[in-house]
Amino acid sequence: MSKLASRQVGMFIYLGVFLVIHIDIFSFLALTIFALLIITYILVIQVVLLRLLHGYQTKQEQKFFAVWEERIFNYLEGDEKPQTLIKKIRRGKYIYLLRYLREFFLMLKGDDFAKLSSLINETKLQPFLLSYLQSGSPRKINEAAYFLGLAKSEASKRLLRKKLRSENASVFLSSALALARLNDIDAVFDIFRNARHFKFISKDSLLAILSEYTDDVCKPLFQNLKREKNVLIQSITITLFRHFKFYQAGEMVLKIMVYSPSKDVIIESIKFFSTIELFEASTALRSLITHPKAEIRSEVLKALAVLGDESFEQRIWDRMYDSEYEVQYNAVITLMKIIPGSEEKISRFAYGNLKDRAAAIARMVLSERNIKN
Amino acid sequence: MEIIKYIVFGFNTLILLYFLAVCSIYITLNIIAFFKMSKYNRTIKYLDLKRVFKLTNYKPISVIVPAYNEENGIVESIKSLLQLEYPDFQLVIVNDGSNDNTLQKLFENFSIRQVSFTPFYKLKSQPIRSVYMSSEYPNLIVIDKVNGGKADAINAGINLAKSPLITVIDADSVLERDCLLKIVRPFMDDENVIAVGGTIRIANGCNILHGNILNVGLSKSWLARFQVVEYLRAFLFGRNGFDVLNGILIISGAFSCFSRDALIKIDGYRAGCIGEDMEIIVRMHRKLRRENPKLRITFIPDPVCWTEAPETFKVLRSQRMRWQKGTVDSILLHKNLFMNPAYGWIGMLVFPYFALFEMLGPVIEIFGYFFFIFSFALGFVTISFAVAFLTTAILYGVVLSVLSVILEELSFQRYPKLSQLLSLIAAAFLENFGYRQLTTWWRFRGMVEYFTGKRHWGKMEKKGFVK
Repeated sequence: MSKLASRQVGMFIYLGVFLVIHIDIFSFLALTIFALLIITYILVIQVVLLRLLHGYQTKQEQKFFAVWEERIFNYLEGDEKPQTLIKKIRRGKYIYLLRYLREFFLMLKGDDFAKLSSLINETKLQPFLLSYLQSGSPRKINEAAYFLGLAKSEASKRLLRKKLRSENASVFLSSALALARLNDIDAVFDIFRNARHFKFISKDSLLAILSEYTDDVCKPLFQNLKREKNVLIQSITITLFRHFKFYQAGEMVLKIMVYSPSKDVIIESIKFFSTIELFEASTALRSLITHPKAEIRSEVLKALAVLGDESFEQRIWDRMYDSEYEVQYNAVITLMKIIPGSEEKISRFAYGNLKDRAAAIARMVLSERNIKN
Repeated sequence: MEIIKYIVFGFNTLILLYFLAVCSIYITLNIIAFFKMSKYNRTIKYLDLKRVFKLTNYKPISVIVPAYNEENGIVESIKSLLQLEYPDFQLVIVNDGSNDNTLQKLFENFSIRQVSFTPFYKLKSQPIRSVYMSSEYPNLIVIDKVNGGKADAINAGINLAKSPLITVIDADSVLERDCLLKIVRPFMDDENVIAVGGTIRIANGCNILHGNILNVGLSKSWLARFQVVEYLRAFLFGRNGFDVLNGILIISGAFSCFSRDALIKIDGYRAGCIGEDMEIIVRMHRKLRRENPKLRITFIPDPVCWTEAPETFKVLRSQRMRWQKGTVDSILLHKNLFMNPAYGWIGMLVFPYFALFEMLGPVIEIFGYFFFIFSFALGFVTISFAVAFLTTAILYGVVLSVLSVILEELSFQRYPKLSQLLSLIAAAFLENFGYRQLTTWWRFRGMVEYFTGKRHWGKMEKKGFVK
């Protein structure tokens, strides 16, 4: 086979060299025109064929959906076995059914979801998807991982974990998402570990995946956080604690925040304290209100607006003269939220110092508040 | 006579080499775009975009809409923009000293009331007269300022925007409902992204109601259809191709998204600039990527924004001349990027491409036609050669246009009817017989006007989409 291919390449090279040596520019142009005409013709035919094929597939899909809409609703309401239902469909149309079920999987909960999952987990659809998962094609793997994850197919866990080691970013991401949907807690550290191999997988991408876990993921993450030194993992973990409102981690996160040099970890910690309303954190926030980084100062003020420690009043007033507008803006809002009667004081300050920037910010907050109210 | 013959021969050889270079670059871009699109399609196929709502770490966006004399469409536009799918966005309308009833319409329809304000940043702009906030829609603010042009209006908007991401759109753009979800993804996927552009499509012929696209269609005007093919070519393979090299040099002003910090660092838009959308991107490469080469200016091929294309020669001419002036302006302002290895691919490949093929392209092409006729008249070129060369050039153009239609067919298939597809293929053929030569001529004139000092914007009349 390879001999044949190399012979063909050789012939093309020979033909090319022959043409360059023997033909004049006019003949070359004529040949080019001929080639371009053929290419154009092939391209046009290809576009039309693609469209016809797509049209045919869409029609088939619509027909299929029309039939299966009723079947699925009857199945969800009735006692029909999933195996009996899936027997009504040819293997070649499995993918249509899966596409049709996609929205249901994303919407349904409880018993309906369990019934829907059994359509994949207890029928021939599962081996079909597992065979896709074992294939070498990233497209098929991604497709299979997506549906196996949606259906929470326990049987796919082992294979999905293997796929986490893939060097292909899309395969890694789709497998990680499936495992998160399957709530495979043991895989979470594999996800962290393998994500480091990819240059372009961001904190936000990982968070979007890990937030698919249930709050059960918090306990092992909590144990891990005690010894975790990587600031990215610390920051992701704390964000997940916030997402799941994992109160137990409050004290430990507080300790981490106090000693952490990372802006990201500090900001996520403050947001976490604010979400779980950890009043004990306000003492630690005292020193951070004058932190050199404006984003941290700003976040402290937002947290104080929730935690409501009145002893901070003077410090918050001082922040109204901050060099950054976001800090100034949040200082006014926080004061109005936590200090009773401060609105009048701020109003006097705002309209008594017309040239002052802090007063201008205060006027802006007051007028926005008036309109909102 | 011999000397003239050598000069003409030399120039014709130059044209031929130029033509070959263009062909090679376009073919390379096409191949890259095909791979990128198929990879992109695989990625987004099973991406549940709305998962972003579940998260608490999404990035808020300020959508800035500069508006100048937009009384006919502004209400519909804002109503449609307020329905965009995104968990946290602020809509900042900047009335750029309109002398029609734009502001009045906003008063009548959105219960806006004056608020006290102080700009958060100090980007240069004409004075702001007042700022208003809507009591009905808390995320809508209106800035009324002295006229200063689009760039100036955007700067005023940035000065008052509260979100870390800034999206800039034209007041008459029609946006896809999930455009913000799509445009924000690159910022979430890669912390180094500072600007993202999306694909702009032609809205003429589409069925639009209350600022939303109900059905995608094609205009009856062939002029608009030619532009559909042109936009497909420019966005689907032009920008996609350059994106792989982190070499996007222009993001359409009709829809773009930036990191606010990046905009502030480069002092915002350059007021009075003709092609502000290109100039700001070139400046970002020049100032920010020089400091940190990891920063990315990227592009998503999804059609996120629909815009009205000119349907008369007069308006189209004015648009193309303005675009050309903008290109020349941006390139000359940042000429030290040319073949500058300090800027990597941008300096060594992308910027020279824009200078030689986008800026000088019309000049070389016009001179090429002229020399061709000249050579023919003097008998240096035979009729058969002339016909063969022109046919090759035209057929090559056809192949490129049809390729972009195929890219569309393989990716988004936004034109649902077979008849629309056939019309697009027909347009891909026909645009090479006159239309392209005409736009080249207008671009040439744009350049001439630029160098003779006529650097004004020109007037853009639009019919509008209001039904």
